[in-house]
Amino acid sequence: MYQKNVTIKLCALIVICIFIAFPLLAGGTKPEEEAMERPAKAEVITITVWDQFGYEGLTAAGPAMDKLVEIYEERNPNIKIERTYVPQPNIRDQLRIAVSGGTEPHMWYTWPAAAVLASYARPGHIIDLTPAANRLGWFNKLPQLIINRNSYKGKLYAYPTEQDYMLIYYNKDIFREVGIQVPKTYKEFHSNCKKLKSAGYIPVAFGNRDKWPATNGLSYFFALMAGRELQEEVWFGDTLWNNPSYVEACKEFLDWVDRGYFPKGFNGIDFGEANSLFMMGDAAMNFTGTWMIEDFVNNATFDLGTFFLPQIKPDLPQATMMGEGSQWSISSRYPKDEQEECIKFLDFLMSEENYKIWIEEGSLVPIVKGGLNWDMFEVSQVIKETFINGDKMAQVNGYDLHTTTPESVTETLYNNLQLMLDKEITPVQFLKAMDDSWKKAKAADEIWVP
Amino acid sequence: MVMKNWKAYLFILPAFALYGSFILVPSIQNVVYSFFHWTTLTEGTFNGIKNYIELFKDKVFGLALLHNVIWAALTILFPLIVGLVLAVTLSKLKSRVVLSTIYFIPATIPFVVSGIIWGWIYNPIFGLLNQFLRGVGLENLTRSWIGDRKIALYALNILGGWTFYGFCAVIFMSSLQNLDQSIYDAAKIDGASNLQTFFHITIPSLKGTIIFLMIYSIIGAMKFFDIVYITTKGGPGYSTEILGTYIFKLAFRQQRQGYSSSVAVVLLILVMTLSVIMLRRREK
Repeated sequence: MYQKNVTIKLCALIVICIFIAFPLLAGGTKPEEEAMERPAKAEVITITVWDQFGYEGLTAAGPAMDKLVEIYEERNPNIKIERTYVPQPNIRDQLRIAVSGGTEPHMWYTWPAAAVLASYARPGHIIDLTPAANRLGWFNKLPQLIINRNSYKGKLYAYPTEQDYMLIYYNKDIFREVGIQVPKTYKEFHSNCKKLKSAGYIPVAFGNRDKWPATNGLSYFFALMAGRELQEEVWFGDTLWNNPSYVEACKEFLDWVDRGYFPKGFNGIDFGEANSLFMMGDAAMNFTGTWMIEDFVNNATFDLGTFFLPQIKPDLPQATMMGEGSQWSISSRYPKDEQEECIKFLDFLMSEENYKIWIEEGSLVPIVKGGLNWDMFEVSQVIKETFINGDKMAQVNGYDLHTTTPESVTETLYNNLQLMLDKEITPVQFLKAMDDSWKKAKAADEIWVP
Repeated sequence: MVMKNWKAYLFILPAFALYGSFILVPSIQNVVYSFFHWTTLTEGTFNGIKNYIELFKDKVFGLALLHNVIWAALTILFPLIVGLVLAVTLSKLKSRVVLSTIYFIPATIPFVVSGIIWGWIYNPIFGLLNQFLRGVGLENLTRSWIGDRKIALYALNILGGWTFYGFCAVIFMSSLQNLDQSIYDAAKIDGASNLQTFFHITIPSLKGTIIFLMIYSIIGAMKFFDIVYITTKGGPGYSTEILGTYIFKLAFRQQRQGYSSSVAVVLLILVMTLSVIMLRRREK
């Protein structure tokens, strides 16, 4: 009896040990070690794709993606594209878990770039696209800033896709009613806000309950008041976050709060609710990015317009925050010939012949060096003008903070910026917290190096 | 012994296999991971008790733990008291089944949905609560309920309580139905008032149920996540950060799996210790 019990306990112990040891042995292994041996050559190669192209709201490019997949499969009968739509923001978590478990698709479309992309590139989970980019002319199609944001230590690891700008949306009907024009100077902008407040309107719709919207706002102020050059000194040099220009930019953001430009209690209003305030006509302007432009154009019941904030500092040009919505990456886990098929499909997706489908059927504006020839596309004048004006500042536009910082720093950014806007901490305290977090991230080698 | 009861063991095997696969083994794995530095995308490296040392220097962890304690205390206090009073009141009514079903409805709504609904209710501009306060002339009481770091945790706790009090009421009602009516009759003959009956008969008779609900509340409060994450994501700043949201952010936002496991281990120890203490008291 004793021996039986011991045997049973021993068996149970072995089973538990196998259970425990298995994930540690399986997790985090080098992808090249796991790269599958390609079985006997199949007639049809299946490429698995995860993307965040939905059918309404943010990144509603699902119909365009469906159409492009159909066209590609028709032209390439030996290729089957198995597409899975994974909504934002879940795609980030699901992808990371899939990669760590070795079950990721061949290629995926997600965000953000820079430091987070580097965390996939560093251990070799995604392939170096530099040879393909050289061969297929991708470097000639993309602006240098965007190439850098998708590179790590001189190698391109992702193909950036959506052009994003921060801007101000405005309700032309309210502007007419109050008797104001699109501001040509920053002083005029303040004067407009004052008049809007007197007329009972919320000057600028803004909600920061989700924490990320304020980072876009601050990125915009950094672009206007610190400039790209200084930002790059912080990203890649030893310049501290707590520098005079950043302090000044934070104070300017706070000044908008003090002047009552935002809705009362904006830290308790979420992004969607802030947009509703604008769309319902309670707020005259909205402080967000081009990722909302199609939604606003399609649903506004008023005359919609956009403008970029005028120059704030005389020594720095007018600029905005620029970024790529998301980007395509290819897994290194699959055989070389399948990786090559992914590159071909990616090249097809982002080829000039398909810009029309992305823009007209997917509401997605591809990133193109020097901007697009908008005469070719049938889209609203508001969209055309917005991107044309944004492209004009391409050489000076600044960085999007929360898609550039490592995730540990992003948490500090979100929480402390919320506290700063709530006056719990000062701009200097906020920036010192950023410096502390940045220092730790640097020590842990989490920093992005283009 | 095992061979003698092999049929019984065979029957519990499927349930145990599921429990082992999804609860027991992951819990043990979690303890193992807590001694590693692991970012999920790279191989883990053993770093001894460094995660635990860091834990005791981590201000956000301390704050999150404090918020959990406050949350647990408030959950024990309000939903339980409201549930008990409601159960005692309803048990005397003929329509108690219908009414208790109505009060139970919030408990059937998924936390995510409750969070979204209450997010609208608490909206400072068009939210129902502020509209009501303005309507009755209490404009000065209007707030950004979940955007104000001083009150956000309490505002969320009310929302959590709203999802829980109906459950407490139903459990208390079922226990009340099992109480011996003759004790109440005897008390009535002895001239006991309703209040005396409540404090000297009902509450002592419900001791087991109260302890069960307290354990349930504490465990629930310690592992709470959904409502906070949906509504405030732990903000403004860290004012509603609780251990559940902190563990999630560490693991899935900051990719610090090892460190997040150490926080989870502390949470596990806390919940288990509290449960054992409460269960022992119940047995006594």
